[in-house]
Amino acid sequence: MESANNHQVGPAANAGEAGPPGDGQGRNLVELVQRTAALARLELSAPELEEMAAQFGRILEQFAVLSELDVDAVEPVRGRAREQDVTRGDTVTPSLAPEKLLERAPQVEDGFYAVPKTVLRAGAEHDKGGSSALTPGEDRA
Amino acid sequence: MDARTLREQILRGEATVLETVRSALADIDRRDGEVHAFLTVEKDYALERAAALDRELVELKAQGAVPPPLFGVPVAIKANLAWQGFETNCASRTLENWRAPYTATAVRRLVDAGAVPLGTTNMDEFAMGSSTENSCHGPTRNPRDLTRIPGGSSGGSAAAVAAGFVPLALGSDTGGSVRQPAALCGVAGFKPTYGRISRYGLVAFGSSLDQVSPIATNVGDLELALAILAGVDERDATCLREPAPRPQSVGLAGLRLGVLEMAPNSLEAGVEAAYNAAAAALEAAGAVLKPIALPHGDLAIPTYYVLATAEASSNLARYDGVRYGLRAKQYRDQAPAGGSLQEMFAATRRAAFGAEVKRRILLGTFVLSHGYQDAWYGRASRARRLLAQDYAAAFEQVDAIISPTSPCVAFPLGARTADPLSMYLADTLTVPASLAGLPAVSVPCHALAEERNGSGQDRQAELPVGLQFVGPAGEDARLLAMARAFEELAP
Repeated sequence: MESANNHQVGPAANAGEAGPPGDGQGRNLVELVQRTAALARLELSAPELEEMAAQFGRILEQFAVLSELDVDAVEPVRGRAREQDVTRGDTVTPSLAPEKLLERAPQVEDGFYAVPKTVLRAGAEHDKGGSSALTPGEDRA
Repeated sequence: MDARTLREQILRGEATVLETVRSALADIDRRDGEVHAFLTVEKDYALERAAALDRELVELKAQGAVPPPLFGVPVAIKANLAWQGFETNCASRTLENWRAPYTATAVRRLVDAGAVPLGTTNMDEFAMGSSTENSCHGPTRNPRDLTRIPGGSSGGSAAAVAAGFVPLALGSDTGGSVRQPAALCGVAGFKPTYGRISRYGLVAFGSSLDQVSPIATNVGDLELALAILAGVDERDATCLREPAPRPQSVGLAGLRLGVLEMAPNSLEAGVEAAYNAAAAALEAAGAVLKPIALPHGDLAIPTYYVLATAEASSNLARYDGVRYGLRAKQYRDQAPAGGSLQEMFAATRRAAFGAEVKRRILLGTFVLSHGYQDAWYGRASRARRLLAQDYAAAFEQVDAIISPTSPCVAFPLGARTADPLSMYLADTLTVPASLAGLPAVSVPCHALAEERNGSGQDRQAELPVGLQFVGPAGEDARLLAMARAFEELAP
């Protein structure tokens, strides 16, 4: 993920104090949405970016009541999956056949999911998109 | 006709399953062009299954065995529940033509109970929305007024029941997605206690909030659905470790009902009139009404939209064009020329998702991102506990809390699509119970308000209104029994 030092987006959005952005923060909002979109691996068109930035401003302003809240003493709710341990018997049960799953993939090669090359040649750096969530496979092209 | 009556009719030999299913399919053929409740109708499967059930009935009768509780009953399934071999597309371009390789526990249990699924129903894409307008296949229309939305996100399921296509449908409720469309379409919808019904096979949106939830023409059918759908499932770690609750009986006399305090002018006039009449009817039947405030109620909408979008941004990371679903066109050929893996993800997700899903992924990614997580996600997780504590305090004084299900009646198509925030605010009365994991049911209550029925010219005054009952965690059966007792008050 991106380094932390480029997360400054204006006075109302300092780390830990992300309140509602006020007037004159349109640029900051556009940058904020742009950076968030990169984190979300989501390409936005220019009009989409402008529209989302404007909506972000209004939504965060409405939600600012959360940032005014004094809740330091309150335990967060973590969800049941993290509050109770559930185990089941260590028994072998049928699972889905690999070919059934592969037939649903957009692109398959030799029984693997196929994606664009992530490694150009031995020793070369990863492409400009940064490190991948997937383990880079061998260069099969 | 409700599910139980339909089954009785089949058992008495007044109609075969095949006739019943044929007639439902013909009805859909004739009228669903304008309602658009269904995304897919699996005619061949339904007819084949119906014929098989008719043969089975002969055998069961010969053995003197009792056919299962939904024997021969046509049902509809929201398009976000996996149904093996059939398209489960979540109303998203991402999953267009994607056929589920396995079946959701809830769908499996309906089929095991003898039901005949006819097809999948329309919804807001990935269950994100309150009007079913965020479907890549176009909106569903409210069967009570075709110029209006049916509510959402389970709008197709609510409309399928309201139109009389099926007596029972499955939906999912994350922040009101079954209760609100049930209210707006004039049918009954029930969100159980979190964990009551297995989520195995339900396409994830906000995992700490999502619940498979039934919609029916009346509460009795919801009770039957709960008995069939609930119970332990090893495939969902958040599923309650207890058997399905048995239906109960509750008298209204002496029942302590909390009347939710709401900000002045927060309800449409028509909703207020119907709600007041419902409360008066409950009181006349012997219920003891007591005003109840949720001191942190104003935090519910921001808390919900921070947590649900955070979970959605994580859950929807899987749609990246690698293992299933849509991949951006320029990356579909063998050995695509240029373009990195990261660019493929981003281009795929741009092409795959509609505007609301993108908005929520962005919001959720933002509230979880470095520097903002404590301020937004962290505070929302703590505010969630405050809301749960508000409810716990309230349930020391009352048996259940009543309010309208929605502050407004069904609005015209397109009325709120330009302003996402106004759409979010429509969920004000349903999200608190979702955040606290509590059971909640919506029952039609508009028939009680005489002053609304008087003005025949006013179309808006004839639109359905739902009364919501919220109960303590785990008390699903008792809550439904109360709702049924209320239902019996209506003419």
